[in-house]
Amino acid sequence: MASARRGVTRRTFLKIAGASTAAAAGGVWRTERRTAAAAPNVTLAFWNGLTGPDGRVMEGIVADFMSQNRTIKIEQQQLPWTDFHTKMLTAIPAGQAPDVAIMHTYEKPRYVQSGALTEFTDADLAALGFQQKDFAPRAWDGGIYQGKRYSVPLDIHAMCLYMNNTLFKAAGLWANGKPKAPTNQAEFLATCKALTKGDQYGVAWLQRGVGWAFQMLLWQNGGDMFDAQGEPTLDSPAAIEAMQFIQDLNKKYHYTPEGITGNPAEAFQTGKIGMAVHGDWLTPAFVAANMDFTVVPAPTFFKQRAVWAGSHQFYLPVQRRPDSAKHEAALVFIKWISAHSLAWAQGGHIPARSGLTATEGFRARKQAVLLADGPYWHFMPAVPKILVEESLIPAAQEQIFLGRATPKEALQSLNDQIKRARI
Amino acid sequence: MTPSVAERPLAAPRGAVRPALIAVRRRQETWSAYFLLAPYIAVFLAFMVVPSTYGLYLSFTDFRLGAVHPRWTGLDNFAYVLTDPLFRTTVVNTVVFVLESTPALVVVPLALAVLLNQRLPMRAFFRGAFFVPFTLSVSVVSICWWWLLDPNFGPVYFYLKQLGLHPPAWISSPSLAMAAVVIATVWWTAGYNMVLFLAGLQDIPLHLYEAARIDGAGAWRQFRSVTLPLLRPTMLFVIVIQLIASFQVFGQVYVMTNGGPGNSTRTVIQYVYETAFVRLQMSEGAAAAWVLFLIILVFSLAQFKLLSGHTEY
Repeated sequence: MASARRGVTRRTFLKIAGASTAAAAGGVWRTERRTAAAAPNVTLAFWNGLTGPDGRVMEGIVADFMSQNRTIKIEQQQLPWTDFHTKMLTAIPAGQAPDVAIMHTYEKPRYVQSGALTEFTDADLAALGFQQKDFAPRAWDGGIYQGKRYSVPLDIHAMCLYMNNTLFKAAGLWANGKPKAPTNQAEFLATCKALTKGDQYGVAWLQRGVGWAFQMLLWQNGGDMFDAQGEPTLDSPAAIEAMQFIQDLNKKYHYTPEGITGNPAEAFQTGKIGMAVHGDWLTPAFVAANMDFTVVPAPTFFKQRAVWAGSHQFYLPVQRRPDSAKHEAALVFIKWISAHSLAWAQGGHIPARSGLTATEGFRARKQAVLLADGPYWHFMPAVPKILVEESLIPAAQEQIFLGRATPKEALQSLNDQIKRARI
Repeated sequence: MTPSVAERPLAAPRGAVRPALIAVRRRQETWSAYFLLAPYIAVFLAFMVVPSTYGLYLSFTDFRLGAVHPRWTGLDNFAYVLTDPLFRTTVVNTVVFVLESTPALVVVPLALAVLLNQRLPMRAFFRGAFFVPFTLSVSVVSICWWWLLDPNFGPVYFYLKQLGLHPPAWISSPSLAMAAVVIATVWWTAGYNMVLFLAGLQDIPLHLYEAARIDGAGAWRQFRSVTLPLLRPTMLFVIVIQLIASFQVFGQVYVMTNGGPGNSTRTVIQYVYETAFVRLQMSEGAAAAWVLFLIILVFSLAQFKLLSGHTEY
């Protein structure tokens, strides 16, 4: 039996081992704390919804920031926008808010209603060095809701028309060294027709998702998404007509192939589709794929010109335990990115800093032509129910494009659903 | 309980010590039992009982995240949920999934269990092989099947086309989409039910099969008259567990179809998640969750009524 043996028993050995491990761990812990106190490192959690080709550009910019600012570490999380809003609106009340986030302008009512955003004070703006005169008016004003500033601008992005130069040349739609860009619905349909033959299609039109292109067609048709009370008006005749046009592109004219459910970039990159109508943030993907393409302003499909546009803005979510060191670091981060927004223009966007859009560096970019659309930019409506609409419209669009509901039925059902929602 | 000391006969001195020891041992065992159960009970209370009860309370209020004082609204949230066309659609979809998956998840595992109960070569390997999918997480299973069934890149469509068939894209057909989810689910969880049935089969005394054989019963008759009746308790357990799990289907559907096409595979749990966390109508989501609980309860009680009972030979 162990007790009868002399020398080191198992029990004794365990006691010695336990005591020395505790001593060693304590020593290491004390040492770590001492070294941590020596280098004041701030880690910022940075969340955004930039999951498209522009997200890769943002990763590079964040890496550059960290290499030039060694005391600030950025942990970036990129989620699809719907999941992003879910995560933000549940994490912020739970005290797990990120230190800085990028969103647009239209989420403000919903977020302010939840008490999720902090204001940018005059002291903050002074620390950032941001002044109204340096920024495009739409972007600057977009940061204000109910008289308070909740965000500062980074960029403006807009919907545009992409054209595959190779296919345009082959179809004879080429003049003066440029593709013949359609400017209205008739020209657009004619261009599609000329480009659709064999296994090639005229346009890659997204048949799922939150329907940004549909919004643009709706505004061009004189309709609107929400009324003055913030209630949806998506079942108006203008909306039904706009949606019917999109469905006709596939079902009636067969100018767009079935099943573009991811994003039009993949379809356009196959080189078998002549055009794509989508946001300017796809540009880096096509540049990286060495495609021969041209970017022009989107056509006016209906009676008035309107161009879907938005603005990425920096937000500071409410923190359960405000940390002034992190707040200052966040402002340093925002200031740096804003100063480098020409690098961000590689993501396909237009810098919000009006000084930068005049530079040669920006004018050389493909999306520079979209500046001409300035007077027609139409942002998404800043109403509380906009996020409800974004979560419900993908299913409605699927119903339509799979032929399981007419545009009228699907939009009426969608409208009722959004009306019923109580937020 | 233990006999008092005075009642023991004086003529049994050795027996005097044992009952007292037994009493002490039993008390010690009771305390050890509670002590060992305590961690599980703590977790169960903290993560199951308390949140569910709080959710039940919230479903009668107008709670929103960040609201300090939710107001009592009675059955208003339940009325909202029960009159929501989307909720009704999700209930129908969920019932369709239950009706499609439960028979498959009873018949297939039962067949596998009967087969693997025989003396076959490499029997242990096959039992393990059929069980392994159950150890995978729902996301892994769903992504794998999603890629397998992809109309453009997936091997299933490729080989079907090689065989000259022209299968429609399952993602755009509501009935096919649900069937695809059912196939993935059966592949995933059949092994678990198979193990349960194997245990039940091994409880059946072999002499009953011998008696049946002597009476002239063939394999099928033996199965019908000996195996099935004596498997009844196991069958009840498997069906009830399967029903409860099938009604709560979420992961596979969310990853494979995200409720599409349209709303044709959207299930009740996805409705609860989207209502509560995407649209942030938390109290309505809680009400929907408790409506689902009632539906599952009704089905489970019906199962108990129909299937309980014992056959003894």
